[in-house]
Amino acid sequence: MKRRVLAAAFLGAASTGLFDARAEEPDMLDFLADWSLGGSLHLSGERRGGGGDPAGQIFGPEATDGFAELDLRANRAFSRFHTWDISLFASFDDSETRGVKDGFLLERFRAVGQRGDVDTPWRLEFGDYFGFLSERSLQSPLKGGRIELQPEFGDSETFHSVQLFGGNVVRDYNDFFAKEGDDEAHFGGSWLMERQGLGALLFSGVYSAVEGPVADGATFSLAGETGFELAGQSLTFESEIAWFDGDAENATGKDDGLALMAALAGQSDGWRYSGRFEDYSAGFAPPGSAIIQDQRFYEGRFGYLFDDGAQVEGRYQHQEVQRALATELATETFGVFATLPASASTYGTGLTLDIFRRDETSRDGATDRISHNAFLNATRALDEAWTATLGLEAALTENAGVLVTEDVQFAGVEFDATRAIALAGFQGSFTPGFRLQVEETGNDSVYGYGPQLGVFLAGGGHGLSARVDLLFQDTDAGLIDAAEASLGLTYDYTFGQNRIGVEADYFSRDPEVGRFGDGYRVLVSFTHSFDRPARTQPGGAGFAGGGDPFVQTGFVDLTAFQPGMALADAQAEIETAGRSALFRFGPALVGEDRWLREIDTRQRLALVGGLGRLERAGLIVDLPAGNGGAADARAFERIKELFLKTYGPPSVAIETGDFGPDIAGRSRDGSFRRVYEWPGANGVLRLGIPARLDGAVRVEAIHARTQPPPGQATWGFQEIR
Amino acid sequence: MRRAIARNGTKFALALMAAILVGLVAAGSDGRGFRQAQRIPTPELLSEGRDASSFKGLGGLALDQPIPIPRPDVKAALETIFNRWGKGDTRLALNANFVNRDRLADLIRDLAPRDARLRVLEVANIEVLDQAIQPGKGPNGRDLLISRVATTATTQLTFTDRVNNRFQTLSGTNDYVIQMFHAIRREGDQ
Repeated sequence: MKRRVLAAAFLGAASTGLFDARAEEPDMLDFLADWSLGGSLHLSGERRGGGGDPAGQIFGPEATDGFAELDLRANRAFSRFHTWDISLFASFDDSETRGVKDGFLLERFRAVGQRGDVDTPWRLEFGDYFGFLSERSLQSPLKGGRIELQPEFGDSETFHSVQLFGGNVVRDYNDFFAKEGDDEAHFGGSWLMERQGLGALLFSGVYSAVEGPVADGATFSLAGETGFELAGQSLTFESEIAWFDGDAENATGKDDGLALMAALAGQSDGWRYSGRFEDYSAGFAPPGSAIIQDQRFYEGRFGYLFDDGAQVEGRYQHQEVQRALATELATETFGVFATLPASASTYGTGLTLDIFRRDETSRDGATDRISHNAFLNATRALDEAWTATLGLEAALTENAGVLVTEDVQFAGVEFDATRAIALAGFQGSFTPGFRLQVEETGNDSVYGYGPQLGVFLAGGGHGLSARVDLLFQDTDAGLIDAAEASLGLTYDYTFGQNRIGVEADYFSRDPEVGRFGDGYRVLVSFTHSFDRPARTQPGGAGFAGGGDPFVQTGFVDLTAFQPGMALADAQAEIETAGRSALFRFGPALVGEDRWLREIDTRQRLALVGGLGRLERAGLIVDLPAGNGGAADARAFERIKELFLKTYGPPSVAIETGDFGPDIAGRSRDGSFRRVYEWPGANGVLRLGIPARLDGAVRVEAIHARTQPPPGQATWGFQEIR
Repeated sequence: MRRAIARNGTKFALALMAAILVGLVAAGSDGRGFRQAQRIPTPELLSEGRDASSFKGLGGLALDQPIPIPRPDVKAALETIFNRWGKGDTRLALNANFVNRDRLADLIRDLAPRDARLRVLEVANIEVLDQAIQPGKGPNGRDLLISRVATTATTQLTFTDRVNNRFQTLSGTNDYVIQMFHAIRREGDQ
């Protein structure tokens, strides 16, 4: 217990002390000020136990234990094109329930840096990353390092990405730094080429070293994908060929082998279809891949997607595994899957249907089985308060193999109804339900039935959910009847940056023959989250600022002017870039230039501030006619295009009314509006045509800490006429 | 209504949308079986107005920095998935891009004991592998956050073994990669 308390204290000090130290000694830890820091500390204690028959004590014998977790994240943006993200996840684990190991564990660490404003853009990753080349060569979480370069060769139409990596498959850094860290290691590289409209090609190679019965070896792969149009069909073809060369023979006596995969998928209007073929020879055994070795597989799918969201798909799949062995198993599956959203249903009932038939036959006769399975789920709002769900399932398995000869039949019904509830400031739902099922194996029958109840309530920072589930099993002679009860309860309360959670579980089992047994667990946890943004001060290196406003030729990036920066600095940035001098115009500094090169009307850049600090930076672009005619509409579209190209899709886009006569009047009464917004670290950029008191019609773009509500007609630089 | 995306100090609330953990994805829309480009933002890309992120698998805009996923949400998402284990809608718990999804779903439905129950006892080792945001795609026009999260979970399977006529409890600790959907509510949103 003492150990636990000490560890919790250590983690707590580590998390909060960091920030206190920074506050008191800004000079010493000043370098941290440019990083945004965040994370959480989670403490959890558990009590569990039970009584009676040990089989019923599913949570284990009487015990009290717990764990602490520290999650730390740091992020720094040197510029829009140069960023670093660091995260760390550590625990002190004294819990039998959590994970497999106890003690102090550094479970995850990840540092990712990338830079794009250099000749060869790069990305560096240290620590945890997802090692993925292809499904047939490597797909595994790794701890180690990876470097990626995205060089530009003469032909800039083709995108290149070259990666080199090395890493171990381990769950924590304790293992990584211990000898066990060498259990499974992968080293390799890949070169990816992508070209718009043509497709992608990946060359990759990985050497895998594994301790134990699996052979070490190298895997080389060539994978490609291309999309094309043919006879009105939109098609995608993907293929991979991979070769594995192992250092020792595997169970089939082979030490090398080939893998082939080809897939064609297409669509036309609502139709969707695809075919796929995979063949992996017995010697193809890459340790880091996600495939089933020594198999052949092919499938065909055909479906239709309706305009209202309903979908239906049929499939045929054929699989042969362990082809080199006497136990070779062939499986054939036919299936249909369909969904109908309630909104698309004539009767307001949402449906999901899942039917399949599966034939399994092994060469040695051990398995010979045909299973049929059908599932239907229907959901329907009964009235404004109640929503009902009905689930029906039926299955028949015909066994004719050597091992199992009895047929199995199953039928089950589940029904529940959810009612929305509001109670003393809390909102939630209440879901009673019932299930009934029968399974017959040969001449034995098992009937299962029982009620279920779920309750969920939330409000004022509190959240409560509870679930009760009873299952009675009545059987024929020879089998054991039993009554099982499961109760689960979770409660949490969030206040400020803190959260308190309680989880309780109870389980009991009362067999007709044998002893009653039950088990429980109660978990109490506390989580404190913290978040401290990076400093944004004059000249500071916030995300959206610090960059060069003129990095794009023919454009001015208003987000480079951070609200709060010294007006003089902003002014200097413009003037040192060789742009127009700024002149005072009332409370604003205004410069006339062709800030947007493609636009040939009058353009003014404006900086508005107070007490020497910038409040708003903006651009005022006059429209060619200013009367809302076709020329104005065209000019506005061109300006909008420039912003969309730079900042991507806006988070707010309001387009009300058309260009035309009396655009000034319609702007004021709200029947004509153009407002687009892009959020940023230090403010929001807005572009649009504001209503003006003087009746002028012009385009304005403003970057400011906040913007007036998009519904407000008048905004913009009213002070600049 | 300000919609700052996951920036420094921005207060936002995440609402886990367990109900749409995965949806049916029709044939022909499977993810690619080999690695995708994750383009590093460059001034050229920006001036061409091209999307720097090409997270085809997640489908959305890149974030400047990861949004932390609350620990209870990871546990709740796993519970939602495992509650479907062995039930008729097992298939819906598996992502459309899951390798051999149908084969696994068919097999579980064929072989899982009918009274089996899979519990999540505890989670550990949480890491957000990647995230993307789909503006306006959440409920009530909110932004939808899609996260691929790695975690290690201790699970417990209980069922009646009818062959040996015995109640069985099997525990396991395994690594999972899950896809989570959150609706983002920020300060000032209605």
